[in-house]
Amino acid sequence: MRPTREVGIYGYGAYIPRYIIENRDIADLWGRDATPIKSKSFPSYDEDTITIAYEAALRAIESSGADRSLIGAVFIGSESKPYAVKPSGTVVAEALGLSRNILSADYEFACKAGTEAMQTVFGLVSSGMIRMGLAIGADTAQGRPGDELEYTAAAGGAAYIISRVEDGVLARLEASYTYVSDTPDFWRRSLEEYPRHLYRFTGEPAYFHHIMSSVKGLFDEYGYSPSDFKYAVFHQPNYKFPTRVAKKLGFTMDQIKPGLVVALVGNTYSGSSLLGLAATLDVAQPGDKILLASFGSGAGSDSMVFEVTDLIEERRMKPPVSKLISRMVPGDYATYAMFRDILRR
Amino acid sequence: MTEVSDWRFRRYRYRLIGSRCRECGETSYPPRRRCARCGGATEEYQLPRRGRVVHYTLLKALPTRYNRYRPYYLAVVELSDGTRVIGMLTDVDEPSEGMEVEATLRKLYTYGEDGKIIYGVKFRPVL
Ligand SMILES: [Zn+2]
Repeated sequence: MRPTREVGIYGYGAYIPRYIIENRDIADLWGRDATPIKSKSFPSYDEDTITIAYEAALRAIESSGADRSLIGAVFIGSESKPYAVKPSGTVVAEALGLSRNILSADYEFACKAGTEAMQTVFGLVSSGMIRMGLAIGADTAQGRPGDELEYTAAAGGAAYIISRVEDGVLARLEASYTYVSDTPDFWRRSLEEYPRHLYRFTGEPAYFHHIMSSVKGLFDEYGYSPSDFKYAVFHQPNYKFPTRVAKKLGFTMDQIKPGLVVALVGNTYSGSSLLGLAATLDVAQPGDKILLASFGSGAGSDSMVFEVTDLIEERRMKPPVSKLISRMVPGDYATYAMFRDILRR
Repeated sequence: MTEVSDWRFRRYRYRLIGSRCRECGETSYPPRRRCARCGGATEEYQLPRRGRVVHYTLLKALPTRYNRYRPYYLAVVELSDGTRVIGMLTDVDEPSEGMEVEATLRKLYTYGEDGKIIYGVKFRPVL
């Protein structure tokens, strides 16, 4: 897909809660040996998807100097909405001091909801319906105690302010693509606290098939190849999947390394690929091309190509993702259980 | 507080919007109609997000709606423009006087399992 009028990223921001739990601590508790990653973030007792979305969006606005009055949309992609019914975006918009003439909705497409929000805002900005828009991916993902997902389900998010290229962007969108199918790899029924997954579908039929189809579709339609890119970011449910899909598509470790934050942060679901993009923009230079490919269970993948502009230097997020990670402090399982409301007084 | 009165205060709770005296410039948070120093009329004023902890105390005994959120540190924070505000601290193990903090949005409390979630400004160490 290519919008008629050129659009891009005006500003970006990310947020990760302060606490991490070591995979080792979870594995010891349940008597398991192998762990998929080193550690994962978890939200403090007073954090949720709304506060994480707010933190990421605030950082995007403050770091880029975007004029709040020009923002005409707030879309939040998440699978951990604090309210089943009541939009997260209206709280975030009021807390940020945005206009009341904004479009707002919560998006759900498992881990793909954040890039879905971006695609929507590309269209709205390109058509001229709004001048600028916020697309946010944020989650406090749930994993049933003892389940495979408990090792990786993490909390965090990232926010992107989208504008027309003529308003000055730090990265220009060259093209995007999408690929979806009805695949039962992972779901959470209404009113259920924890999701379920079918192991049979998790890898090849879901993650790999959808990301490869979306990226290959994008490459075929617009004539790209892996060597065109300085960096690539893939959805990060664990360490193995993004490194393997990169290899299968012909990308090197050097291309994906800056955006690969999963080993310490975990899978931030709707925030995952967007957090990886933020970490990549933190180090990117003018002229660099970046490939972004999300994945959401159910299932689908959005892929996008950005070219970084000269404005990157002045608009970089302060502080960078690396600083958010280095400030994190370990918590034990008891703290994790209490903060996650698994254990109550 | 009720779910309705909580909603009425959201503007000040979410965004550190205080007041400034039109006569002498005195600022305050929460906002006041009349200046505490000279009695002059005031106007709305957006306070800065950054400041430093001046005093702090640990609160343990709190209404039951705070159950999940206790104990917590309550602090007097001097904002970068000199305004002193009282606020909750978050993401701190042990505060210290002079600690640099910034305002953010966090959950304050909730009205039970099915009631409203009340959000508001808290201060945490500068990122
Ligand atoms: Zn006065």
